[in-house]
Amino acid sequence: MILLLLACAQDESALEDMLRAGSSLEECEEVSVGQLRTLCYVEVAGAAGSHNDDATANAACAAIPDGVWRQECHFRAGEELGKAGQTDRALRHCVQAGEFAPNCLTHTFWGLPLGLDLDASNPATVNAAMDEFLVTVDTALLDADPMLRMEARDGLLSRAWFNLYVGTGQANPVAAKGAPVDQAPYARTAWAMEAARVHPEPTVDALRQAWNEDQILTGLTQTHQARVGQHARPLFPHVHHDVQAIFIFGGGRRLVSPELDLDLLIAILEGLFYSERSPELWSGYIGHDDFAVRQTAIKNTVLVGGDVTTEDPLDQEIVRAAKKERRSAIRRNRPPRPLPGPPP
Amino acid sequence: MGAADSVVALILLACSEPQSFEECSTVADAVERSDCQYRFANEAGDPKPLLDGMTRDLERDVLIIRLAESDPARAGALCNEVRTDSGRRRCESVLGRPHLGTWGMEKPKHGKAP
Repeated sequence: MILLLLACAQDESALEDMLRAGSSLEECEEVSVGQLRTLCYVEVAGAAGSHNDDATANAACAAIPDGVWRQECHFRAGEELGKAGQTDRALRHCVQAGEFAPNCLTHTFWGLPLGLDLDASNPATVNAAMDEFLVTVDTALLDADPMLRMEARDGLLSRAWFNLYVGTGQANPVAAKGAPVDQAPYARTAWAMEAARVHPEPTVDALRQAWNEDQILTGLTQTHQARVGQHARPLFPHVHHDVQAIFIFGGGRRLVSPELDLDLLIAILEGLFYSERSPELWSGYIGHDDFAVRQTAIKNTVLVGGDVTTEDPLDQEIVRAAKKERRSAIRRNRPPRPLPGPPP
Repeated sequence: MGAADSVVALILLACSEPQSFEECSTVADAVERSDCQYRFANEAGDPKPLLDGMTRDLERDVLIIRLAESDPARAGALCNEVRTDSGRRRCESVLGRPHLGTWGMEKPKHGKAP
């Protein structure tokens, strides 16, 4: 009996070592318990990602059997590389993150390096940098599922243009006007967000005038952390496939019009929403002839607490969706989101 | 039963394959004992009663972590039960991430904004 008790009380240090393992690939290889070995590799991949050690992160994830933990491993590595601004490497991991790929992409968008020292008054430089950036992105996403590739491009373009304008204290429309067609809606949105933020009396007409007259609106810059504005979750029903929509960095989606003037108007209506809360800013457009303009105006009016009455079934649909989002935001105690704090 | 019979019975118990979670405690090797416990606990619908009966914290936490790895959707609840620093650390660094709880569930398209 004593022998048995002694055996049972055997030193458990082997178990403890396996439970703690996670400092290197070699340490993981020594772990004989499958589940603990897997978790060890996940931990190694995350740490390697945060040190820009892509080779170790890849080796760690490859050592895990296919399934949830391999996906999690790539997510961990991707988000860490993304946080470190290693966008292309991060994307390569996100592509392999399976179900977690959208989360991984979101973290990569967040981590996209600021500004790249670009000057918004020089469209040629901006376009060259954006093109180079997109080549990197497309190469990294070569093996990605087409839907994921589209989502990644959408989010990254939204983030890249956001970085160029928002919080910089300068809204110069020249770069947005010079953006290639496929980037122009993102560029207009970002310009409008910053223009609305720095304009002393932002209205649709004032921002449209600034755009048309190439006015360089200036104001206070914001720290990276303060670049958070009012936003809502995506509300436009997915049934209207004929209307294109793009991500707005920070939250939500906006509708896009193929006509420049209308798209500028939509961008301005969304740009105003980033920093303004007065329903009157949008209420003049809730009866607009264009579907996308009207829906944007209705959405934002309702989201800031304004009333909209309409007979149109599709307009009623967006009213209901916006009211639900507003109630939900208030329940989450985020009506809809805190405005940026005072700039430094 | 004489002393000799008792010793024989104990040796037989120690050498034969455990037939229940409780009998796993007779396995001498710590890793094999953990494998045994995991085998029975993984088949049990609710492992909580088995965990409640375990007295060694480290052994218990290893079992919890193994179960959580096998079923990430339950990891959050299982991690609430850990008692050692090593177990807590593993839960915080790997198992406690909320998205793991929804793995395998259908997600809304474009449910997350950048």
